[in-house]
Amino acid sequence: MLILGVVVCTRLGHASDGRIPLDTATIGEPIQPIPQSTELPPQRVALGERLFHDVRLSKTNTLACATCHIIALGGMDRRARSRTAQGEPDVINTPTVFNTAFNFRQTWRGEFRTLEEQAEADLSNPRHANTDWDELLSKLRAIPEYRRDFSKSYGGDVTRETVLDALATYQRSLITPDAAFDRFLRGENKAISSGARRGYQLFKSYGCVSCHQGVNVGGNMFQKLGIFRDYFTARGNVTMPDLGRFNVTGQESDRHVFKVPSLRNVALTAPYLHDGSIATLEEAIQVMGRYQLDRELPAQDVMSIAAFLRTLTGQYQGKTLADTP
Amino acid sequence: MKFRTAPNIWHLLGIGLLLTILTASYLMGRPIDSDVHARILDHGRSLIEANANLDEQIVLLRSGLLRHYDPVNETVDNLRRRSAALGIELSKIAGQSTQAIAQALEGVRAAVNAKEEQVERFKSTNALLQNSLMYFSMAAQQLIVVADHTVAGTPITRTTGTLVARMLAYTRAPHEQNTELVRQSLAALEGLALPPKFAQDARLLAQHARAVLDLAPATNSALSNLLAMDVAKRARELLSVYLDQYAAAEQQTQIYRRGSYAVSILLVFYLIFLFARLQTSAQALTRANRALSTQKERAEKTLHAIADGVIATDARGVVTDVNTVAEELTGYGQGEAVGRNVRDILHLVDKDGKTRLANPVAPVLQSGTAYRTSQPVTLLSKFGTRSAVEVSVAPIGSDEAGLGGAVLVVHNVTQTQELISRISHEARHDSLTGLRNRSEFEQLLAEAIRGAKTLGDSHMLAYLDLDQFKVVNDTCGHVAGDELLKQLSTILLTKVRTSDILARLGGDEFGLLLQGCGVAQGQEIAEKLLGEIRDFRFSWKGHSFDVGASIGLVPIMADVVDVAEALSHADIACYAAKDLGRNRIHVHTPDDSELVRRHSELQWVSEIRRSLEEDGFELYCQPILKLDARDRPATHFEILTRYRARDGELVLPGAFIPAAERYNLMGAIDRWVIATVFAGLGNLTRSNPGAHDDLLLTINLSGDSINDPSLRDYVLIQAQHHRLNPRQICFEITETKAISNLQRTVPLIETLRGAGFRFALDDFGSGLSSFGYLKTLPVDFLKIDGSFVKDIVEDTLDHAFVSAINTLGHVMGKTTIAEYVEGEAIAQALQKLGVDFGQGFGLGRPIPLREAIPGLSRGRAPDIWSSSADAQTAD
Repeated sequence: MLILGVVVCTRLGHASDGRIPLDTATIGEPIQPIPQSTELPPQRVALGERLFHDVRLSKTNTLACATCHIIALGGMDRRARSRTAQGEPDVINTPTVFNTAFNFRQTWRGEFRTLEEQAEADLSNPRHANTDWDELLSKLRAIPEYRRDFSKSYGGDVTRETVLDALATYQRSLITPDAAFDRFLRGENKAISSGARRGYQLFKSYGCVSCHQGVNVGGNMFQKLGIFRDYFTARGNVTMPDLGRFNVTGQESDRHVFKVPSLRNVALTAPYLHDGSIATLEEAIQVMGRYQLDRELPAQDVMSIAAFLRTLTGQYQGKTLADTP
Repeated sequence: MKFRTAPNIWHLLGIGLLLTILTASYLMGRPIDSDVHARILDHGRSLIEANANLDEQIVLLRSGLLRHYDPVNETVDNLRRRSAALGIELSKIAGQSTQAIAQALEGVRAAVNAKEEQVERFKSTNALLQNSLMYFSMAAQQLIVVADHTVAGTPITRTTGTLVARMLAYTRAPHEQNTELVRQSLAALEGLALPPKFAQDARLLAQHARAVLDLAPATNSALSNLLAMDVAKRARELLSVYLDQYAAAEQQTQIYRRGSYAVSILLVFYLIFLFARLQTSAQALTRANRALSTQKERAEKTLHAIADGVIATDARGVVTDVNTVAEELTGYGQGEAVGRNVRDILHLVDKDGKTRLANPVAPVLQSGTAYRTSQPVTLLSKFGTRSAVEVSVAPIGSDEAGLGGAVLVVHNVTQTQELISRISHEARHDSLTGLRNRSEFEQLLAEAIRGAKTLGDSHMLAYLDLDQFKVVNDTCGHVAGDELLKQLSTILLTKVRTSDILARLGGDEFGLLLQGCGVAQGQEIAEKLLGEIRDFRFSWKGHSFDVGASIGLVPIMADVVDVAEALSHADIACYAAKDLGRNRIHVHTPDDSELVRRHSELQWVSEIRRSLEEDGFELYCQPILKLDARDRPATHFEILTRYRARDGELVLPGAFIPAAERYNLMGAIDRWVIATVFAGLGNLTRSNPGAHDDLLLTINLSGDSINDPSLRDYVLIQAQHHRLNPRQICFEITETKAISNLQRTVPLIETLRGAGFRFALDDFGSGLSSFGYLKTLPVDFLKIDGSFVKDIVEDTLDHAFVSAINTLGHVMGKTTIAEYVEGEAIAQALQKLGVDFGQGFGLGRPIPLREAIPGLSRGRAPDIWSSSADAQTAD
């Protein structure tokens, strides 16, 4: 530790005039509000939106991105497993498409650093769009509206780069600011109920916030599922996707490690966990307490934390996201 | 002579070929694009900066100061973006790049990737570690609180207490012995027969104590691993390889330029040869008139398009033709030049610019052999302008009648010369200050170390870091900061010996190599520099700043291993000097106990943070008495902060404020004081309305707080929450801090005074330029700087000064307070001068706040987020 301290101090020595950017607000709250606006070119967002909802992006002209990522349903389809192009259940729960811009990586395993990489992978994934660029580009180029709009937005032809950029730009526009909790964070004390305030205190004191933190209340680090107790033995029937990040790195220490999911709009994104095995928010809180903290949370605390989590539901295009379409 | 058509084509082809070679060698010799060059350097520098940022953020995360990972992720992203951008820019110079650049780039990429992987590991384990640390202290506290109230609880309290103490020791020094001690305490705790009501907390305590023992080593090893991934070093390596390449490219450009110059000469000879042939053949002229005129025109155009000056003479040395460039270089136009002897238009002098050189054409015409200058010479034009040129002269043979004349080519190397000297200077010097830069300094240091090893030389290495440079940068902007560095460099340069080497190592850090110098002399020189810097006042747009510096000294003798070690020792010594208080010199010693000190500073940070959370600070206060009613009980107090260490020892702020300032924790401490004092005063007022209305408490605000735009709202919200009468609170700002940031201070004071708070200007008079500012600072109290007060009885000058400040204060409607009132005589003197209030050991020492004002209970600093709940319980 002493050696460590020395190393640390040597580093900090160069910052001796106090260059460490550390405002008191950062010390104060581990969760930060979502910025209230984005500056994205509206034409490209609109073009991306059309692509996102267009089934012609898939080989069979049956699946659009929006088939599983339903904007009106919290950005996912409420199923434990979405249906693949072949009509079978997919291997992992579909994550919401909202606020993905604030995730440090994409997907449960976090193998993609950018939305562009993720979009490209899904386009070629046999279970999803199952297409290739030759096929997709010739299909899109045959549609005059796309030719016109790509030319308007990008000043050129429909290409791999522009398709990916349009899709990613649209996804970056899918943010949900002004959740009640964000208003609370911005100083509006009465924006959330006293129960939710208590829930937030519990969220911090139980330690949930150790991992669910930052702007997205998650989505900024990797963590193992089953820290203090073995989730997978308890659940049984371990499959490949359950290995999580191990599938990406092949490292033993990454077994059952996942990207910590964002809890933004979590009230709308049931069922929960990567396997979609948990139906309600309350159960999810209990399961997290049990496996990640080794604690059986009292029912009253679960209720308070759930009340807090419900205040994380934000607004899209000025309207609070709703339970029903 | 018969002139056929076919050779014309050959001639045209020949000229075309030469022109092609000329163009090609010009293109091939192009140096690295200056925009690309600038971008490469920019990305490199940003990469190094981002890396330093990342290290800092990680350390902050480990100590729990930064509570979420978004900023780190952003920095990692930035690191990746910069390294990718470097790759893209470097690929643009692929033509000239070597294997070495690719390798170094790969090194940077690999380091970034490896570092990112360690960051991810660190993030995951650190989250768990922080969680377990939280649980541990929570459970321990719970256990002690519950057990304390029961008879059976005593052994539990004792065992838990020991466990907590040992865990604390472990977190400070996680070696085996401490691990074992924690384990023993754990076993002892579990050995106790615990009543059921303790079981849950004891289980949590044990579980998380074990988790800490597991996680701390993993987190620390990820931390040290990632700090060891020195991306900055790799980036510096890459930049250094690249800069070598850059220099090489410049050199290559020179070679190609010379190549093109040689080809130009050839071309010129060729053209002249053609002229000669054409001129001697009248028949050919008439027969090929048309073709010829085009060809001649083309030839002339080519001649004039050549970038070198060309002068053609006949066999006697009389000029027959000059091109545009030659016209410009010599100052003689075609009309003036043609017909004159070449020596009359070509004035060559040697490099010193005085000695006239002989006409180079004459010997060539005599001997018939070509000539060229071995090094650049200076050409003086008709108007006196000078150009550095290389000159070559070649004889032109005509068919059979001997020499037909000579061609003189003047190659202008002025720009090239400038470029060469600039590049080599730039590579070794800092562009801002003109001092040597880090890499040059390291080379010279390496030589010095070699000298020490082989010849037994002894030198001193000094590492100089400016204090308060940030203040200038923050209050006046980077332009001012740059100017400060420039001015200071100039001053320092005049104070070192000519044999000494002064360099800017980056930011506000300077390196000084004192050659052939012992420790005592080194200290002497360092003292001199320090004095010089202390005396220097930097002014910028009406602001004036004190500048200070800390200097670390390292003797360079045979036992120094290498440059890195020497610099690191010097850095540590400099850091130690800073720790000992600013404006100091510290000589590095092998068993430097300052290492421990720096370590302790980091621990101060976590102590401060803990204290903020657990109310580990204690408030003291010192009475401020009305001087003409000194026997009456005090109602006016200055609040002072003390830290209560775990062993019960009371620590004065001098010990923790440097750490708090360095890690920007002063603002948080101020907020804690504000919240605590407001809460206490609020309680007091509610419990006994009206009884304490004359109480006035003074709270100090740090520079951090003044700069914090949200402080104003914080104060207002806290005041409202505790239903405080703002008239009872006075904020104290030191004069220097107020002046150094007027644009923030004035609005802050205005708003808070508008709400009823009062303000005092502390240490008034210490900055002598301050009278003018007093008008703009709407304060209620002036606190006269104690250094004038303490000698007021003996020193007439001080007496006069205090009198002046007092009068001035009163004229401006301020109440005056004298500090350092250490005895009765001083108090009387002040009273006679009409000073309103006094403060000092002679009037009252600092005592705990709760002793001074018993009802002012020290409540928990209220959590602003649960304010409404608090308000209800408080009622």
